[in-house]
Amino acid sequence: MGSVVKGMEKKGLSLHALGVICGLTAGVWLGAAEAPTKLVTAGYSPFAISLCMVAGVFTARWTFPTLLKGTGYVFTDLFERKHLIVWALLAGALWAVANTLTVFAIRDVGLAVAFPLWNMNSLIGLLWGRVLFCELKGASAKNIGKVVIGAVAIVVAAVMLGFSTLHGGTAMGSHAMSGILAAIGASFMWGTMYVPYRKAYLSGMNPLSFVTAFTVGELGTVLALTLALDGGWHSSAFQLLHVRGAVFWLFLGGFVWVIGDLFQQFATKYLGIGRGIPLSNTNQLWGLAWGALVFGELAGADRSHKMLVIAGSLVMILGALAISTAVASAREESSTNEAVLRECERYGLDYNQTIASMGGDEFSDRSQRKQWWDYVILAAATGVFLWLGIRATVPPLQMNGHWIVVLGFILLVSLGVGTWSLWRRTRFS
Amino acid sequence: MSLGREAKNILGDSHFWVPFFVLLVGIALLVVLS
Repeated sequence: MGSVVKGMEKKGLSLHALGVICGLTAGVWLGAAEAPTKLVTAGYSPFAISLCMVAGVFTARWTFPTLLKGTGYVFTDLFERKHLIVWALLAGALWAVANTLTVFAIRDVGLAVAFPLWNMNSLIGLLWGRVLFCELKGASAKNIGKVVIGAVAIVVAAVMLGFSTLHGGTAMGSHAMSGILAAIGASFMWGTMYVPYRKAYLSGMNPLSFVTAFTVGELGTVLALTLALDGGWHSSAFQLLHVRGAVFWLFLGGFVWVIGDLFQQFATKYLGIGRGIPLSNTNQLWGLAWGALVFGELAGADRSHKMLVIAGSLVMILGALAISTAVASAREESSTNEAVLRECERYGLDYNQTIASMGGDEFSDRSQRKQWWDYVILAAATGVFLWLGIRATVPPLQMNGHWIVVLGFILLVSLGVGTWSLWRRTRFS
Repeated sequence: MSLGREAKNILGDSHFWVPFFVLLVGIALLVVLS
């Protein structure tokens, strides 16, 4: 254990700071990922959009763990904690249902308003974190106050944004109620999805291993939903797969989402649910930026409604920040260790090794050497993206090219900082 | 650990039923909206 502590001191960056960097990077990337789903206005069903996005997610999700660790490492990690494969599949199913609900929400109320509503998932995550994993148990009154005030601010902001939709003069008003219902449903799904995430990281699993199993649950669920609820094999999803010019953008959305989600997973690992989710929920800011600046989503709204959307967004971000600055005390940390002990006793895990893995250090000598099939996976995934990219056509939507460049640059900078920090501190563990 | 034992551990874990039931509610919502 002493060598672990020494290692942490040498590397400089605290785990809290690393978690914050991962959370903020996740926000930038998750915010950008929803932009391609604007294609739903081009007449495709939400199931079709979701299936294509998840196909892109599936392709990308196998790519990164293979690139960074190799499949040998990933499968060793998974089979050391076999029970977590079930949890990962369940989380993937929750993600798939939530993602489909968000496409309904975007279609009915628009990106700028749907985003803040489903970002209420931080409240749901906070609830499960407290009830199931003893988060905030033993926390100071100041920290509890920050969390409560932040949570209330997020609810108030969501009401402001929902009100602006119902009474707004924008073109998206006619199906506002079902759009809001879909966004709130997505919020519940995504808030609860963090239960398996946290479960995995309290058991010492590497996020890269978890997402590899997770993505199988995702693809299986969205495929089943499409077949059951969207006309079976006659679904527009399967027609959309032949529209190569459009498919690329949805695959790209899935690809961008995967990067954001990987950082979100690391934020959850190093900060916990209560603090990790609000930080990654700054994606609301970036979603709003893409929706309003690139797609001109608020162009039809009057000044007072625009102000309501902006004020609601700011209140929501401040609420999220209040929650995330409530740094865990030593007493709260000991409650986390109790939660780890529970997992170890139930599933027969080694307590010391699990605690070390949670801190980003792994004692096992798992091979990270790449096998020939790792290179085949990487080449196949890259080939799919290139093949679709060559045939891509710009979607028939009005977009502001200047803002695409600016927001794209911010994406790349955040990726550089997040990747470098993770590599330097934990070698992606 | 045997698969049967793993399954018993998971199904006996109260945490498991929270995401499971939320997933069922989400699927029901999709059925209503679609």
